[in-house]
Amino acid sequence: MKDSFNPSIEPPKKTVTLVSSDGYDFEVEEEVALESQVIKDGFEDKAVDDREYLLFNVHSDTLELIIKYCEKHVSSRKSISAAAASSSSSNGEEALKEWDEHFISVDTNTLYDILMAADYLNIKSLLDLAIQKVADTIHGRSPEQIRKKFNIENDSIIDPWASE
Amino acid sequence: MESSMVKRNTSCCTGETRCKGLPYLPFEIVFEILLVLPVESLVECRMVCKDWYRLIHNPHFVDLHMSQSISREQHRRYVLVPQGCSHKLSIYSLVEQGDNCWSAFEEILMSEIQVGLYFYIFGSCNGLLCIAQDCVYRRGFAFVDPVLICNLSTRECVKLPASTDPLIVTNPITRKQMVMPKIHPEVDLLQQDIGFGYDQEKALGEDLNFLMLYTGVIGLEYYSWIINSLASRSCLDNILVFNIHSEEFSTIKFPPSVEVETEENSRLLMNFKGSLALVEYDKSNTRVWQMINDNWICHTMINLVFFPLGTNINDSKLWGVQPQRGMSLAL
Repeated sequence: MKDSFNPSIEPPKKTVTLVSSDGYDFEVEEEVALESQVIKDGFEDKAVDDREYLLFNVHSDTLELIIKYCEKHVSSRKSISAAAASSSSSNGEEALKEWDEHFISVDTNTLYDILMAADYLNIKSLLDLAIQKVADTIHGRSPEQIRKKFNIENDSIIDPWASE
Repeated sequence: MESSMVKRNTSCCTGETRCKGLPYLPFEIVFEILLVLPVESLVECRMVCKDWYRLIHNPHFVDLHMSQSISREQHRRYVLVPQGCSHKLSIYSLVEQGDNCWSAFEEILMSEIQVGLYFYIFGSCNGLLCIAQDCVYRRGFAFVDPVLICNLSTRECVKLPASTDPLIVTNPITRKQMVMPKIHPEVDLLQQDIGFGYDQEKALGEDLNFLMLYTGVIGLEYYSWIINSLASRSCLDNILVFNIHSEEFSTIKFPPSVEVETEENSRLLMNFKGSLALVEYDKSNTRVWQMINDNWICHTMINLVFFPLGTNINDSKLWGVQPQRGMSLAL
């Protein structure tokens, strides 16, 4: 047993391994992974050397995006609170909002994947962002346009007013 | 800072889990998406498919959507304009542009609403509007006919039977909308029913027989009417109270000194300072009785000729008319 605690050595950044559904390992910083409420909830129960999460429902393409989002939010939060502490003016919140806007401007299928992943991993802010994006897409469209856009089968051949 | 990505040699799990379309999303997510949409969009969305239609009409959804819109949106205002001979009503919605500046109104065509030039807005709750046509007299009763309940946001309209004094209220717990009273004198003059929602009715009970109710007043927790004592045969109590929470009727008596209504004196029910109040007035006096802890307390008495009309917006002051002095805010 050689791994006795030594305070003089800077501990390496703690990392967590996330495994995508198609078998890719993503090594991310602990605080980034903890953006997910699901990971956070189970975090304490896991042994320190076994911080690996198999994400059966998240494809590597999506996971990469999710990690990008979490990393951005963790670093932005730090810089915003640092700016607040030094009472210097910062437009960090605005900049992050703009970043979010750009981040979520993806094609419909990617948007579904992000929605599913954010729901599965329970990342509230990302889920809200994706939900708002879908809602914005629906807003102002006719029923037929909505069906086409979101690949919904038209089963309301019978007048829905009469059916209830 | 950047994450690293490594392909596993021994893939623990394979298979594409990619979503193919909105219908494949979990129900909760679709629920959340529809919840953030404005009402105008929901009107379109419910025509998309049956699942969405059911979801949007689900009472739990409606309730949540309403409370979220109230906290999120600015209040909407509408202007109702009768279209003369066509008996149609044009509705303009006003959009607030900040700083009390209203602009950009669009016309909402509601062909279902057919009223004449003289209509009343009998009340509103939760965005529903109760509109009624001017009074018609039948068998000595003043009726408003038709009574319409309109949802201006969804542009739906429901026609209710004629009523003597329609008012729309909400049960604060069940959130059920109630419209009352609904009276059927054609069937039996002594049987009066009060309507709830669009299709339910609640009978008053066998011991509550009277001919006519008037000057209804709606409070936070009750709805009450004065029972016309001149016409009453068997009912000795004078005020009918409907508890909105328990949906039960009860009666209360007038304060002991209040006399039977004559040509010279009148009384009026109103909400005053947070409780039910009875205003009794004649040619020389005005008394305001307040119901406090199930007892009548004489709140104010003024030796003036004063015809009470109502209360101000937070029910703290009484409006009225004094001859020769015009409109005054008194008490």
